[in-house]
Amino acid sequence: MEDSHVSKEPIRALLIEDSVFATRHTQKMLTDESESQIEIQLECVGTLSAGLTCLTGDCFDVVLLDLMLPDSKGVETLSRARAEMPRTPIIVLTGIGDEKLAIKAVREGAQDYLVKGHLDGNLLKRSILYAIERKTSEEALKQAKQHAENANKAKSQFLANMSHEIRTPMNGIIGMLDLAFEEPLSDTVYNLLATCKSSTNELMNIINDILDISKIEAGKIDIEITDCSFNKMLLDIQSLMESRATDKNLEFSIIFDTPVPDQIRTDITRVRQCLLNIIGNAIKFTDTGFVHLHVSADKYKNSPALRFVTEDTGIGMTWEQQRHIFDKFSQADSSITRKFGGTGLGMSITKQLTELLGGSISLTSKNGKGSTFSMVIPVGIDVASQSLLSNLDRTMAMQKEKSHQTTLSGNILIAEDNEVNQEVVRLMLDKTGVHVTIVDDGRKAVEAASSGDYDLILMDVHMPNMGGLEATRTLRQNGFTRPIIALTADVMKDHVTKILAAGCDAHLSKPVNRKELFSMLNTYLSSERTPMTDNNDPKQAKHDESTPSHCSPNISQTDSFLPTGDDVVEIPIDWFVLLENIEDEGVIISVVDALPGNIRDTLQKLSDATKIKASSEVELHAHSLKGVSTMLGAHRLHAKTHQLECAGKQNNTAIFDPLFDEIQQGFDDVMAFLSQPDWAEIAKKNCNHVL
Amino acid sequence: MKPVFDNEELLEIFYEEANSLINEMKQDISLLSPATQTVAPVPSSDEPPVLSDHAVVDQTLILKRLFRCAHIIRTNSQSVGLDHLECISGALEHITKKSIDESIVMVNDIISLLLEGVEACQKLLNHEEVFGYEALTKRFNRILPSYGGQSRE
Repeated sequence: MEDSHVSKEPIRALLIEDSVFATRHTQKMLTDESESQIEIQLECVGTLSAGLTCLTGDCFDVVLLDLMLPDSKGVETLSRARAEMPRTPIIVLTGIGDEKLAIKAVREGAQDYLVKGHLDGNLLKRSILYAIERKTSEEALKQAKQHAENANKAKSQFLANMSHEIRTPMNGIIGMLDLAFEEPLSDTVYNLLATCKSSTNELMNIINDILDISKIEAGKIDIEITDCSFNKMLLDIQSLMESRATDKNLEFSIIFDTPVPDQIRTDITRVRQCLLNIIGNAIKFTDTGFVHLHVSADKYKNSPALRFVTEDTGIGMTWEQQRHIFDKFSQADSSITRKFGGTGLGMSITKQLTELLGGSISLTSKNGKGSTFSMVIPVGIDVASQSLLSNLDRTMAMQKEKSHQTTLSGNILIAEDNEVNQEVVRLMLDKTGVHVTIVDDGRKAVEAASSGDYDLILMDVHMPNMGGLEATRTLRQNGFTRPIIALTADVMKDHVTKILAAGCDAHLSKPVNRKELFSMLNTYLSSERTPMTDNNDPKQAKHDESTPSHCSPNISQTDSFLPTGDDVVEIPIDWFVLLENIEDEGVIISVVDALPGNIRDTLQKLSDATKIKASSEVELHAHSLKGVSTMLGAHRLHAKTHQLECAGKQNNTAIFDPLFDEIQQGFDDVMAFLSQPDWAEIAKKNCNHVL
Repeated sequence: MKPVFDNEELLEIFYEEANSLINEMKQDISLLSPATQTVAPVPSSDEPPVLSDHAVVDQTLILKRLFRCAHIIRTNSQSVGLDHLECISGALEHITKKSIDESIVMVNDIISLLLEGVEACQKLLNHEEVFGYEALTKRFNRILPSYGGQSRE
């Protein structure tokens, strides 16, 4: 590098030195002719206090400082000088040739440490020049760092704002995609939309991560400490993580190393987010073995705390990877990113959230052997005064859930032509204690409501003889004032408007979701909270689940859906959809028991209608079978039945036969699958391989 | 022993400063006594110490002054290449520093040795031969451990 001072003004240096000889010697070294062309103007003082006075009144490019002065000794001399003139480079010029002291001085901010007696003019001048250049660079770096930090803050703020802005239209996209699945779709379009939906969900996860990290960086994340149930959170975690682990044939369990309190004070949403990140990662990076979550009561900074230790038998990490695991945008290496995806933000968010919750996180890992993450979170309560849990209390959770499920009283009329849907709703309502009457068309609904005392009507919109909307209009004209809830798969705004205009009080989207149904009934029926009845005992449901379903004598049993060894097979129904719609496994089994007969009857009616090209009949029965396929999560069948329904509506008779053949074949497959005694287990195991 | 340094003007400054420091040291050593304990104001290095039977001075401050003088002589003699002077003044620097750091109480043996060291320095500055130079340096190395301190090794 060329000397920047060669052609410039002379360098102004201040020598703080108490020895007359050392002062004159230094002066001589700097003024003698040497290889360097640098001109240095030297001023000399004998004490630190005199030096500091000089510096406050004058401007020097560099200070040469002896450490042993009459008014100051050792590194303290340097510290005092640095405090007074932080921007001026200081070179220590001392007689103490001690390496430890030299390092200490450099750490304290000295640009160089030169030992008297081992110096010459060239060396000293070079040192002065480099010190000035280094200090200039340091100052420039400091400024650049400050600018970068400011820019980073601005970026975080921008990301926080933009992520929020992006989420709003994303919600629109997701909502519209969901609605698109209710429209008649060809296989191709269905698959395209399914891919689109999956990508949208991934994108939302990424956006949420970015939003979180930018909020954390901007100091805008909200931590809301409230009283909460630890047991309930663990049940949520088990429910969410167990299925993911099972998908990979991994064992997942929650182990209580010590009794722990149920009632704690923390931000439970953030704790859950941290644990889901850690356990989700553990499952992601483990191919065989187990993922265990150990929980225990502990202390952190002398306060009661909970410790969560997540242990896995996954790919583990090298020491280098462990060092960076909590860094932002950090993944083990590019191959990990390629194989497993992700933003690399999850663990950084987890660490920062843990710290915001007042806790800490650490890890141990062995490459190829697995990892153990230990997170400790203060719980803000006196553990000694709490009732303690020694394992997951599922009963408590179910009772709590049940306590929110209102046991209702009253008479409900269900107008629904589809026998499967009738059965589903009836079984759901069985648990609430209401009295249920079922009719299968609108005309019968009007008759029943006019003669009976019904507190509420659940009215399907599409029914033979008289549709649900016409029936509703008739009932209102006849003076029926009780609530009427429409059941419809079409939740587009204009359709909902028609439903309300007809006189319905509200609508429920099909397939009917149990929670939504209960919520609706809560709103429109008087209720009282009562304890669980015996027939609501979950053990009973479990018993029902274990009861083999009936095999239809008309449908031959087939092994075509049975898994062989560890192979996965494609299956015609989606267990997750069934569970989401009906929730209770016992009810699912009962509903499925009744399915084959209903399906056969409806298929026969549909077959008759297609043969004679009776479009409205085709529309009606196709609609009915569409409802069954929706409930079962038989995605392809759903698309086909919807196409046939539309063909019926549009009188497009040319495609009746080919579509019916496909539907017939599809339902044959469904019934063959459901005729297996262990169909539910196969469905659970292969839930990612739905046709 | 002659210095390797060849700048007469600077050498003159060196000798002048070193002799002045030696005189300061001799005066300060004369203030040290086995009975001396920490009390009272101490004469500054610019003023000649007032000697009297009742003079009570701060031993640590005297040792600090001795240390600083020895340090300057040692550093400068290194610059001009006077090895023996550097060695003995370095030993004086070490003893005074350790005595301060380790709070070693001055005893006659140590005080005598300090004086011997200062006088040896003076001889070297006057280009006189120091008889028993080797023995003197060995005694410097042994003296502190005898009184609870650490040797220079």
